[in-house]
Order: sequence, then structure tokens, then C-alpha cells
Amino acid sequence: MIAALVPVKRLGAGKSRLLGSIERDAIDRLTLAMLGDILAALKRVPRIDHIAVVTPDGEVGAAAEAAGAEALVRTDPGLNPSLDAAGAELAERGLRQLLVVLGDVAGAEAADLGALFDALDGLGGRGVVLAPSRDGGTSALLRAPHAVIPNHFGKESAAAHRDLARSGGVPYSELPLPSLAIDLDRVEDVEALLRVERGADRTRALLRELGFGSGS
Amino acid sequence: MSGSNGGSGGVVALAGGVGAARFLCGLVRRVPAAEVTAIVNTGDDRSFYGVHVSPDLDIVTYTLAGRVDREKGYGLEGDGFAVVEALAAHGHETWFRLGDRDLATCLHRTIRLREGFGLAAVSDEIRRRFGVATRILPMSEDPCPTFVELSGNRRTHFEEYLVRDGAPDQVTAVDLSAAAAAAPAPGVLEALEAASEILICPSNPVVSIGPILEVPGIREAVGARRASVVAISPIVGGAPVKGPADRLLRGVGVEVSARGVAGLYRDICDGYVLDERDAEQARDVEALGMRTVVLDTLMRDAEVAARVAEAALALARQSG
Repeated sequence: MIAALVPVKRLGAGKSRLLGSIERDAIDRLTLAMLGDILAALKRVPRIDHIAVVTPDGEVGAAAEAAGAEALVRTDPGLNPSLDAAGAELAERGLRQLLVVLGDVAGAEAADLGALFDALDGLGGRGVVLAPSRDGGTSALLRAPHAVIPNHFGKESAAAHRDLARSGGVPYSELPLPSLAIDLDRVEDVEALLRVERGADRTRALLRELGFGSGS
Repeated sequence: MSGSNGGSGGVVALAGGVGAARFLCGLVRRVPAAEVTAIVNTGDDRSFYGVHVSPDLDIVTYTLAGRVDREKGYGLEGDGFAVVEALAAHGHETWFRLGDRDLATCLHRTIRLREGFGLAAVSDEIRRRFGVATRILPMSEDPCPTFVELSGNRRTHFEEYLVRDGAPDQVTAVDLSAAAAAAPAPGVLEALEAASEILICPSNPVVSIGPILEVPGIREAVGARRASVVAISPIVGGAPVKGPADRLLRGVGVEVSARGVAGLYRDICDGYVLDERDAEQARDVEALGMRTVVLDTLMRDAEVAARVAEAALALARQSG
């Protein structure tokens, strides 16, 4: 099985750095819009045969299922432990390759996600392919086998994942892909996303409704 | 006599590095070398200078070939170090001091892997070239790096922990999740199913045998043959013969003793060989449901190792 896994925080808990510019309720709508965009992009990647969303939030889980993904609604021990547990759960069903895409990489395009799999082919089908975010984080992490390096998401995680692969002697490739570079975290990320004129339909529409991008 | 469901596929040994290699040298004095298969840990494999280094596969190969640097237990006897010294002059890290001809083995492995051969085929080619009759199989062809977690939330590859950092005593956990996600190498499960006896070499139970058993299917395949499985304690007189097993066992909360290691193997192993210095622990091991034999296991030379192997085989054949 080749699976994609999207972690999403509990509604009301995420995006503290966007608060102040957007109302709490709007942030939750934004979280769901971004998830909808990511799931739509993942569904267009032919290599992926299973999509799962891991979240502690029942409403997020319901949205994931409505979009045709499996919802793994689990208690939240933190981002990396929850990814570890979800990966292990999928592994029981014969997981061979795992693509983790963070839930705020709303602009992800199917072609860019597909390029990650092409890069893995280039490594001989074993190893790690990483798409960094522009702030040094990891937007997407493709691994075969699925736990060949541990999850180390968080600040400066691109460097951390790169070091783990290097240190472990694991074949590694890093693809700076434009549509995966923006994770919606700060107001300037919102502006950067709106400057790109494709993808992220749901997120873009909501941001415009909220008054972003009207002055540009 | 043979084990209750013993196959006829010869003896299979689960092996780490130095301790396993010395034991295997003894084993092949009692069993025809071509009837022995070693399934070797690859959790220590790592890339240096773009070259695929497989420390345990090479230690086992070099030792069985009689070519190992006996004093160190790894590397090739009489090897030079011109390449790493030249690399150091270029500013590269050289804490893993690969000898020149040792590096050539690894370079050959890398070239073969890039040509599309699997690690099992390449390991087989290398051991034949070294004149080794024993079959040497990697546990997996997938990358399976073992990471050691240290206090202060640090995480490091096992070779960095062992060689670069000198195996500090601050281990809080060992991460074998890469091995747990890997597939067994071609031939591994078949060898275990066909084995007449399965021996667990006196290797580090946490970072050498641990990763092998973590690869999906291997623990089950060994456990299914429990009646024919015997382990040799890597702990003698309350301390490992070589290496950092004491620090790693403490790090994962296991007593540093022959008895402590036996507890790790109780579900997959029917017989256990203890050193005479630990004779008083035999009763504790038997209480775990294992049969025991006690003798001098400090493998000073191949003949002592052969006596240990003979005792382990006898126990495996009596078991069940």
C-alpha cells in the first residue's frame, strides 16, 4: 500500500500566529478548507492508493471522511507521536511507502506531489524525499519503508530530517517545490498563497471572503 | 536427534558483529561451513563519503575468511589508511576509520547496489570472493538505521553513538522503527523455516539481535521454531565481553546479566548457554521456561568458540 497521511490539529487549537488577523471561527473554517484542498490534490496523485487524516478532532474526521479519506480520530499525544502511531496503524495493513503532508500546505498540487514519487524512484525506490517549507520546516515527507527515519516535524525540521537520513545512511533527496513551500502559518504566508494563481481553491475563496488579498 | 519440527536446511545463526563472528568461526569447526547461514544485522549500516558501509556484514565476512584485524575485531588485517588520512586533509570527518581495502569492499558494494543488485546478492558475491563457504545474508535490503536516543532529547545513529561519541552512558531508548518497517531480505524467512537449528549468537541483544528480530516476519519465524532455538549469552560475569551492551541494556531497562538477556529471548528461545561465571543464574533462566547449559564461553580462540557452538547445538537438538 502507498498511503498519504495528513495530520490536523484539534479545531480551536491551531494557527495561533494567524489569530489577531482572523477570528477564531474563521480559523476553524480555514483549517477545514485547507484540508479539503490537500485531500483533493492527493486524490489526483495516481500512485497514492490510500489517504488518511490523523486528528484528535471528530469534526475534522467527519470532513475527511466526507472527502473520501480515512479518518483516524485519535487522542493527541503531539504531532510526531501521533504520526508514529498512525504510521504503525497503517503498517498493519501492508504499508510500503508513506507520504506525510502537513494540513496547512493548502497549495499542494498533484503534479508536485507526484514529483516526490518520481524522486523516490530515482533513489531506487528506497529512502526519503522531502519537500521543505520556505521557513525551514518540512511540508511533505515521503519515506520507503514508511519509518526509515523517524518523524521529526517541527521547527527547522527539514534540517532535522536531512540529518537523520544522512546520519542513517538513507538515500535522500530534497525537492524545493513551489506549491509545497507555503504552509499557512503567518499573515505573510496567506499573502504568498494568494499571489499564486492556481490550486487551493477552497482556501483561496475563503481567504478572499475574509478580506485578504483585496488590496493587492 | 533433531528438534521436534526441525528442518534439514542446516544451521541458521542470527548475528551481529565481533562476538557473532568469533562464535561462527567456532561453529564452522563443528558443522560444515556450507551448511551454515548467518542472518546479519544491518541496523548499523551507514553511508560514509557516499559509500555504503555494512559493518556487521563485513566483520562476519572478514572473520570467517580469516582476514579480519584480530586485535580490533573489525577491518582487514594489515590494511592501510591512506584514503581516510587524505580525506582528513581535505577536511572530512574521519572518526569512522575505514581502511583502504575495507573501503574498496564498501565501494564495490555501492557500485553493485547502484547497478541494481540487491544487498543480499552483493553480500553473497563478496563473501564468495573472500572464499567464505558460509552463506551470509543481510536481515533486510531496506535501509534500517538504528537510532539511539540519549538524555537531553538527542537522537543519533548507532555508529555515531558507538564510534564517534564513544558510547556514552546516557541512553534513554533505542529506536528500531526503521527495522520494524523493513522487509526481510530474500531468503531470510525461507532459511529460518528450513533450519534444523537456529542459534542466536552472543551479540548485543539490543542493537544487533534486536533489529533482526524487529524486521516483520523474523521474530515470528524464529518463534515458530522455538523448540530448536538456542541463544548464547553475550554477558559474561555481569558485563559484555565487548561493546556497549551494558549501557544499552540499562537504557532500555533490562538487567545487565545473562539472566536479563535470557528474559528478552524467552518467547523465541528454548535453550540458553551461560558462562560458568554466571552459573548461579541458570536456575533463574530455567524458571523462564528455558533449558540451559553452562560452560566457559569466553571465546579466546576458535577452539573455545567451537566448544560453545557444540554445546549450543547439542542443546538445540535435545530441546522440544
